[in-house]
Amino acid sequence: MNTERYRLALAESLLRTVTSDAQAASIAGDLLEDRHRGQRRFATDLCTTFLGLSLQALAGTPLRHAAWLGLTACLWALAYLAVRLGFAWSGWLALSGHTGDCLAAGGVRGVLLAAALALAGLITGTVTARLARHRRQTLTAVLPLAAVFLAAAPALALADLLSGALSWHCLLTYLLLAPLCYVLPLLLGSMLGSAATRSSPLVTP
Amino acid sequence: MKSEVNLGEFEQIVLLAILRLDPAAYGAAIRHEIESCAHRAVTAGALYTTLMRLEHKQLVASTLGDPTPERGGKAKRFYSVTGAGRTAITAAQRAYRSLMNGLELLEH
Repeated sequence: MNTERYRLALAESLLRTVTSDAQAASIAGDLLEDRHRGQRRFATDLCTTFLGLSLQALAGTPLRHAAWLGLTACLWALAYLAVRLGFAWSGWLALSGHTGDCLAAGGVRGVLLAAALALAGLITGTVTARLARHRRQTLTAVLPLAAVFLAAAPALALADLLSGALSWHCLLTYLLLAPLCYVLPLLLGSMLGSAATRSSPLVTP
Repeated sequence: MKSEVNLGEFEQIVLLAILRLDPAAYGAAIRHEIESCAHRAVTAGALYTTLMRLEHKQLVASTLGDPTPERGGKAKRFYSVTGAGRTAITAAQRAYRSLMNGLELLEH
């Protein structure tokens, strides 16, 4: 019974990032009602619904998405700068390290470089979700930037390949770095921001 | 010239399922109805994006029901086909019938 409650809460909080609260709750209820189809089907249904609603939200109003892209890109750059300055100030990591080198750097330095990227994504996602809270589509606001990050990785890999500079190490960096350090924290931050907005007494549901 | 709403195949199926289930058409029930009548698997993502698109086009309207315990206390969202929706589905079915006329495909 507890598992069901967690599944329902997870489904609802995930769907709430791409649609209204009432719509997310009724879809989550529908998915739970189909529990006889099994856990795997529940997960598949949740994923397809989440993807479908995300794509639907992205399909319209290109001007608004361009505005969100500009805003989130600026926020991300500021957040990254703040994190790197914070790391440098605390003596953990010099400002000179390049983020793309986090796999090459390895050890503590590599972890800190990756953490700086992830923190910038988390902060950007959270702040953007707070800014987009009135639209009740908090994830939609960060999706354009996430799409740019995801598209940049294969584009850079292709550029390296064409210039003859692509190595296995570079390819691994592109494939791991983009989803784990750039995109995932952005989405997680958005979900955290969305949840915080809901529980905030300042926002009426 | 009167502007007409063009319906996709799946949109027509969803509208027909809502009409068949009326007034008890909600997400899970619509899905079961399509699966049992049309004998095709329906992904939840396709169904909910279609329902939202139809609602955006004002071809369906929705109201929230009461929360039920078997759904974890979540309310059902009941869908109904609007007048514009009925006109659109009728026009689409008439077009199909008109194209089918004389082909005698149904007899084989």
